[in-house]
Amino acid sequence: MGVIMRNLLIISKEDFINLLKNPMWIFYATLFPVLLVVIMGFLGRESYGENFSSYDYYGIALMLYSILTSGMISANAFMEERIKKPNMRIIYAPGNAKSIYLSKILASFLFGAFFHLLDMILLCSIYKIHISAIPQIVILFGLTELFSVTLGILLCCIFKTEAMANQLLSIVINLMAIFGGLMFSLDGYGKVIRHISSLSPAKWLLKATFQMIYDGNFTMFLPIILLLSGLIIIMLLFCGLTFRKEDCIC
Amino acid sequence: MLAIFKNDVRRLMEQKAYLTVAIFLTVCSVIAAVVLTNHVVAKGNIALVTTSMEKELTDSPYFNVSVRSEAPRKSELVQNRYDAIVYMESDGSYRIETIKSDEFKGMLTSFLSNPDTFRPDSDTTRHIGTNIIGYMMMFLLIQGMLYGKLFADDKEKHMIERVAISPIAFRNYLLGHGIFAILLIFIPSYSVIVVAKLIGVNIGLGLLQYAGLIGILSILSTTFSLFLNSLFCVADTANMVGSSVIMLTSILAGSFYSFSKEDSLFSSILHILPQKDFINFVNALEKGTLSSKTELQMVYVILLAITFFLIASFKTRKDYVYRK
Repeated sequence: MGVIMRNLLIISKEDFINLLKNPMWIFYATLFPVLLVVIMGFLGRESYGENFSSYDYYGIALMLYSILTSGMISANAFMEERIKKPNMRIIYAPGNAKSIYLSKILASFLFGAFFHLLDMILLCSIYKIHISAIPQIVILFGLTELFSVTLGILLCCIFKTEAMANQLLSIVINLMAIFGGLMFSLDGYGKVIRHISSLSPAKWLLKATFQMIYDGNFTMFLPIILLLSGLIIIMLLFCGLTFRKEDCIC
Repeated sequence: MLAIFKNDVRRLMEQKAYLTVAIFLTVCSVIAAVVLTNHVVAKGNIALVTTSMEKELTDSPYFNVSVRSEAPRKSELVQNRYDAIVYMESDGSYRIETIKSDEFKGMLTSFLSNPDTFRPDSDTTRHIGTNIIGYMMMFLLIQGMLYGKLFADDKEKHMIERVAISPIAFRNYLLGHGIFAILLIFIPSYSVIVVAKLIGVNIGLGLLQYAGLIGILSILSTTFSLFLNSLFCVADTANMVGSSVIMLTSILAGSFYSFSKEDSLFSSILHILPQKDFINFVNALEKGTLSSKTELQMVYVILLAITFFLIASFKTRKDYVYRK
């Protein structure tokens, strides 16, 4: 057990360094969310009054969006052209081949969570984004991060190609985000739209977060945490079922 | 050119799962666009908090008033469920609580004081066709990145070096890939629109107009993806840069929801983005207010698409053909 853990940590460390080496991913995890918030907040600033700014909305909603898209980082980290050969070497090495995908989940989770936390701190201090219940929000966003990187890995395991997993993720997440009101709130557009919007998991996360911040209402916190953890465990099981060592041979 | 086209067809037939998912997603996003726009009720929402049960303010064409006995939570205001809460006292005086701008507060006050004569002073509302095109736009543009994969694969797997020594010109080679991608984007999305029209959904514009508009969008989408793929040698990088650029610019251009007021400096800078010009043109087309200015904007979009293609073909030729 100890040996497996040690191997996993060694591989994860390499994966993490590999992620850090790619300027594209650094940009995607650091500047892109901040740019999104700055631009959207700037565009929407005129419609709000003094006590509430558009940054208060977009700072939360678009950070959630960025966290949901980190599946693309993990999918890349798993099946990028550069990483295929190292993956193949792990298969031949003694030890557990499962550590190939487990290490990618761990590394991209740490990578994403670290940079998104940094973004969040930066945005909150620049724009004075109203935020409270910080420990709960960190837990919630952290689990969401873990969920999305695991989803990216699972799609890679199922479809065997990164391009496919990535395309699928980007379109599904964008649809979910738009319906869930992460780009602009859909709640005010009538009953039918409100019902459609409440089908999107992104909406649940957003609603739970805003309820915690503005109402001090934690009723949605525990169910969502349990749901996310359940889904993560199920996805990990499915990864184990669909992952085949042979796919890493190139 | 035809050979490239046929080869593309065969290659995608080998990856049926990929093709099915891609087409399925195109269809999904177009359906989402049509459904969303057909159910949008663009009214302000007000929660009227009152203890007396008399209903003075019924629904007006501009505001949706829901009478409640207790105030909604603040998070509902934040999520735009309600634009404002109005506390009505028994003596008829009221107090407004909102997170929106003072402008909105003023408008609401004038509505509350005389609900019957109230008219909002904005005519920025879009018609249904423009909304459908606006929602579709981002997804169609991202679809281009998806089919740009064929070209990117050629580069990544060094097939393109064989093309370089074959008699085919690079322009024709790219045109082959391009036409293939354009058809793959156009056919599924246009079919959804036709089906929607046939089953009687209100789609705003005519079918022929849709054909032209979706056609231009698919051309822009494809040439942009060829352009990006010619700049980068790694498919993933092109893909990620492409999707994030498309997302940012589409939102900025106000394809979903128009943010900035016209005539501001910022808004005129935004006209560099083809999406903005495209949406403007569609809006004018639907309202029947086409002018030479909006037509020029469309010409700009088409010229931009052609430029992307030309740059892509020059860049590829420069990279792969040996000069004397």
